[in-house]
Amino acid sequence: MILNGYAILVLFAAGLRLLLAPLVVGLALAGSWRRVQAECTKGAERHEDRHYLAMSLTLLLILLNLLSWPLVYLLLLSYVPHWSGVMCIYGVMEVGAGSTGATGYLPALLRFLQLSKPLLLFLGGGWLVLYVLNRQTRTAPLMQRLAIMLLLLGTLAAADAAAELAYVVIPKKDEVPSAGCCTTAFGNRGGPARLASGSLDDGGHRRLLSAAYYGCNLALILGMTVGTRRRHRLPGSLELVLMLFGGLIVLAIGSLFLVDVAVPTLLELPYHRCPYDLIAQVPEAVVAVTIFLAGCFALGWAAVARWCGRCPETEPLIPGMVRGLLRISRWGFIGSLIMMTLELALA
Amino acid sequence: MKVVGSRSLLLVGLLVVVGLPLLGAWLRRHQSPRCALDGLAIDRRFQVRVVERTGQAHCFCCVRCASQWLARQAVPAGAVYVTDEATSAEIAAERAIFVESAIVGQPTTGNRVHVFRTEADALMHARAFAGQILTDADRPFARGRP
Repeated sequence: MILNGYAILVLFAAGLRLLLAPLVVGLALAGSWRRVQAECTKGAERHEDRHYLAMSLTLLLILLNLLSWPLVYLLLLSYVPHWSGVMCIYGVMEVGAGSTGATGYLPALLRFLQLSKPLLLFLGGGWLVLYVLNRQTRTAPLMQRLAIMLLLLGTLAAADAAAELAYVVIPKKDEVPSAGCCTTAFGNRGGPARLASGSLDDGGHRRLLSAAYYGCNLALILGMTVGTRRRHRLPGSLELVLMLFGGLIVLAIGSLFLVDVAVPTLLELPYHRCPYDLIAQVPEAVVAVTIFLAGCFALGWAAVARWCGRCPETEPLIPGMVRGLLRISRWGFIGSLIMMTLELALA
Repeated sequence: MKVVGSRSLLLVGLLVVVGLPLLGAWLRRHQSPRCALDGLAIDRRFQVRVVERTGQAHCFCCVRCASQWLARQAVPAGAVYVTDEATSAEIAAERAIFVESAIVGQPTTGNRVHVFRTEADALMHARAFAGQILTDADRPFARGRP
């Protein structure tokens, strides 16, 4: 185990989440999120107390889930100097590859964490959106949906925290990483040799990707502007489906653009496509990526509000909530587009 | 009140979106030279310098990085300069003696090719570290040689 300040922080946060997640799931299963039938009785008061406890614990869990995402990358970054052959987070992620025993699970644990972190954030945000809608009603009709979402959130948070704990605790210092830099790794393997193939080094490909990135982003921003133009009108299902589909396309193209165009330009290394290097070398680019992800998440949360938060009592509240989230999403895409353009121009 | 709030939010957003890239670029204006392939800090003893026909120079952290970079270029380089490990002096690649040994010079890239100006130094390194002198096609920069 490599113990430093970040490792201790990760251990503490993961331990806390591992305690909170079963509590949140248990309270959800125990009926803390069911609607109160009888008012002004002792039973109802107790139920209300338990409900507030469950709500506070859930909010704390969501906050810890959010903090654990950057924390895990900071931990990986702090591990870089521990191996002489490692130059960035990519190298740390390769530690344990091909090893036998517990160490061999390290890369798989990190792959799981990379998937679970955004999913946890999305689930947490979705739960918050439904919770805010529910709070504005008189009879709390979304309690059951909130409980179901909490079961998912709590289970995934527990798995995520357990994976994080396992990653920190598994011994790794004596391992020799198979590759310390993505350039060397791709060059050696030749298989995924996007770097060595030359096809992606082609200026034409980069121009095409840049055009697709700007075109898709601007189309989505325009679509959102049109979709949220009219007050008191809920964007139709088809409109929202189209926006969501557009968001997925923008996410896919944005990821490719980041790896093939933005990273080599920002790092001033034409053959280097490791986005992890941005964390240490161009940290402001991470802010642009975060704003972009916030835009994607807000678009997804608008869909959650539209389709999961709908019932007769919330009907008048949904248009405002969906429009508000779409506006946040639009500003996220605009902000990230401006920031990335400026960073590329200055590189 | 609400208008003022929105405007403040917009101002903060603008400051972040425009200010951060400017600040980042300003802070990075005096960076120490890094390898043109993987961005690693360059150890002067293993530096390789490739000069293109246009006169543009690129520095690399080791022979391996420079070879990989040259292999991806459509036009051969104008000149390649390597560093003698014994004296840290820069010499033309065609005059250098390359030894591949058990010693890893650059752990990140796994480079085991060492550069010497004199045959005596090269032989001494090869004997001490189970190495062999690279000749003909095995010599690095065979393709990129002017």
